[in-house]
Amino acid sequence: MTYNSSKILLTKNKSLKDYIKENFGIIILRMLTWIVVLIFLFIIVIIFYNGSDVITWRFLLNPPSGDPQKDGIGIAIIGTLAVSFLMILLAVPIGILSAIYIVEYAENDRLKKIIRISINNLAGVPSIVFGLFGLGFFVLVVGKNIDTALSTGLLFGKPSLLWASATLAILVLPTIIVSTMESLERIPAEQRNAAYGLGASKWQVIRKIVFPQARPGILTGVILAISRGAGEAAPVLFLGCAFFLPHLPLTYLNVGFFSIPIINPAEQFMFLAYNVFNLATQSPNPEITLPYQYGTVLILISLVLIFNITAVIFRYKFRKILDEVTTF
Amino acid sequence: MNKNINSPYNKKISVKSVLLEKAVKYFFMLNGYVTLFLILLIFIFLLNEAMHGLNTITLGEFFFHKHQSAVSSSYVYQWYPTSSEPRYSLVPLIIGSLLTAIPATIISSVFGIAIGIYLSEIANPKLREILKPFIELFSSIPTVVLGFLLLTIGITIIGDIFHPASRLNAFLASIGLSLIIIPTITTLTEDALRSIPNDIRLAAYSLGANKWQTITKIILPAAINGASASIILGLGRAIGETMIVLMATGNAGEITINIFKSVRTMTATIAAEMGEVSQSSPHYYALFFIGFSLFVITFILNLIADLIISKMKLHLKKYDI
Amino acid sequence: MNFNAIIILFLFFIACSPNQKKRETIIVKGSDTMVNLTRLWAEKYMENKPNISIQINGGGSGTGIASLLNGTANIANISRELKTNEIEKANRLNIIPTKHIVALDAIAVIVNPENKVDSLTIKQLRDIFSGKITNWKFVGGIDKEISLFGRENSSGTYEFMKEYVLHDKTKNVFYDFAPSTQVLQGTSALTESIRKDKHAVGYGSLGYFAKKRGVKILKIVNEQTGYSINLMKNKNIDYSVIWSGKYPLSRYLYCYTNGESNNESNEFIRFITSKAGQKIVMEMEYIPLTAIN
Repeated sequence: MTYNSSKILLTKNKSLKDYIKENFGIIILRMLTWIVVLIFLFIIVIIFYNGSDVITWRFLLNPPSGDPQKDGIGIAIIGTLAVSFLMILLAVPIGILSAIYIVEYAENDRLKKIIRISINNLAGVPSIVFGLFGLGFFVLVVGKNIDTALSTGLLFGKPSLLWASATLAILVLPTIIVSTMESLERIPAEQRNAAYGLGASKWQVIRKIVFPQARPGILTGVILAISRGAGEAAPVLFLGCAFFLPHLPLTYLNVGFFSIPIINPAEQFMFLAYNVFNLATQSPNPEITLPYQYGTVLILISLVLIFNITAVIFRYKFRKILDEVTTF
Repeated sequence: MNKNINSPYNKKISVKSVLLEKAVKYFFMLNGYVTLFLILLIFIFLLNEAMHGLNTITLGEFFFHKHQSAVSSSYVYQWYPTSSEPRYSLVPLIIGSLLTAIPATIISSVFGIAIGIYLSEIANPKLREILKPFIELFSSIPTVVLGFLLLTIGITIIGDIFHPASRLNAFLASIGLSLIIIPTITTLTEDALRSIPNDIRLAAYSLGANKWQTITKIILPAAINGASASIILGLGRAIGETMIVLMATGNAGEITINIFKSVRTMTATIAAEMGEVSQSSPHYYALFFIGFSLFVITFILNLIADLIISKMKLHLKKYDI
Repeated sequence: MNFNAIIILFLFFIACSPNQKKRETIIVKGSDTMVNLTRLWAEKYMENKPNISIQINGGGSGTGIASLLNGTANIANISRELKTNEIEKANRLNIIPTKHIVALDAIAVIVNPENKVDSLTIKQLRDIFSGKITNWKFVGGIDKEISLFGRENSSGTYEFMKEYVLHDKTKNVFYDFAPSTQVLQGTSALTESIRKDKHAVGYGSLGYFAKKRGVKILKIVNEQTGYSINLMKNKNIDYSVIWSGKYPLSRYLYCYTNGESNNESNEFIRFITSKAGQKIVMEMEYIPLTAIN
């Protein structure tokens, strides 16, 4: 979308002053852009440069330790994945159903508008407020009441992986809803109408026509949500993040003869983003542990960026497929 | 568009399937309202806890009461909930939040809008295809990582250049904040610019305007709403951000307008003190009151941005022929 | 579908974990001063006890007490004694906080090595940290503004300074920390800041500073006798001034449990107070309860 043709037409009438003015402004814009791009590149390079030396299998798999030679982030990585997994499990079904309702069912425009506003605002709530809400509502109200009702002692009424995931699920819900809505809206109306014409009911259209096509778009939202949730430290600060866990918090599900170990959602967990915060502020020997801090940051940022880039590629492909469908 | 299309076979549909349709619809509806429900729930819950706080600490105490300074005879606003005579003034915290958020918003507006214009009007399409996702990728960098980098690298750079009054200061935090807001402002500005129909640009060129004139006189005024909405959203994000300010501001609760001094923000106060308070104490509810205030502030900012954007969309519709 | 892949990956991670036995868990919460020490204790203890899993949380002494009261911790690490109102509160909840002294800690006041000031009295410290003295020239230094560094109010060190330095015992007045104090999360962040700020002063556990280059530990002058008490002798910690009680800014570190009920917790604490446990205290540059060897 450059307008070279117009430039040629007009160059002759331009005064030198105008010429300088035009180029000066454009050069400034270009400069500002590249400054930011370079800062961003600098950040990535410096993390990779300083962090890559300590990345070994031992560092990735070992449990944490005070001894830098034995220290590892295995439990923090698994904790982060477990929180993300549970968060997705809670947020995705609700998010998808919600988006389908807004796009496919809701008819009242004013209502639609109110829901849209509430989505935007939920996305704008400060993450620390989610943390407050998670502690005050989930742990102290919901959890405590479940404990009293089921007389389970102190099982739900304490900060734990479950409540951290639930809090993060609310945090990422708007991400999932928005990208699901976007992918639903991209499906051409002709396809729906054709299905209706063949006698399909609304539910059938959603199930057979709309949803299968929107799936890659929805998956994009899910991946974006993981990358958002895995990096948030503020909401989980008081929701069961541990400084040091020597073992995975496991519990065993008995299925017939098998005893399947699963991560206990009622326990404390380790979280990479919280680890970064702890290491940066709590480490007894900053000179020695600095490379390990960079290593942890590197793993966290790789996790987030890999998910994010995957989502971007997915979205790109999804749009391309739909463009082909609509053009033929 | 496709809501009320009746299939010719409607009559043959059994009662069972009609019921299914109804059930499915209501099930979806239940989920459709979930965000509305959640935002109301959060609001009511925070309001309730904040009201508990107001039982023991008055609004006057939160906003207007000054206390005598321990070291001089002057009266100052103080946040000091753990003192033997607790003081709960939010004034230093609000000033702290603004002192980090406003410089961050100014910095990121300059850069964000410049990048938005550059990507939409100047950069060639191939470059844009690379740069835009790259910059957007940055909004996903965990803020704790930026906080870490500010503590390890940023602090030295800023210290060497500006020789600030405190090593950890509001300006350091606002650098970090602007890095996370720039992508937001860039994206929204670029979207606003790109939604302006090409005919307008072509018309300007044919009247003899050069590219710079077209940008400053024609395109920017048309996109000013989008840009201002993005700035407001950015401000909301800056006020609500926690980890960067917790790690980089130094958290001193002193009232100052020097951005090179240490400040304490609302978010950092919650993060630093929530772990320590005992439940149902005035301090606990005071923190919820801060949370409630943050919620209200960001809610209003988001609402304004929302209104501006929807107005802009209406406005742009006029261009469609 | 793609979700299956995620689930399989997740199960894979779980299957990878080699632990198959059910473990007894001890949850320790509390003082940030003690987290690194406790981690080392826990690691050494678990070497011989594979069926014990010790989880450690920081967050400050206040967090520790709160967790002991609401039952989310077995051991609360606290770097001060419980206040009477806290004990009353516990008793109302049918919890008997039982005190175990586990180590000694000395609070060191530190400055940048380029600072000319070597020693301060408690009164001078009080005036500096409460903001009455704002320039180094009033305490024998150069004409530069003092930059104050401190800890957040959930840390035990903060409470200790409030009680021992900011409390004017003769007048029985509690001063507050100056609002200009820069509050840092954790002692290591504080060390870093003081190393880089020539006019800074801060405080924290001796354990953190003893072998750190780039910070100078101040001598504390006894106001009555005029002697200045040095914590360091030939670059090593001089334990005798702390054990004898000459150094005014030292304190005990405590582990609180609920009664004597939980055997695992008590056994862990017995290990801590044993010779092996106290050796770890020395390794971490805290002060053992008695002389070892």
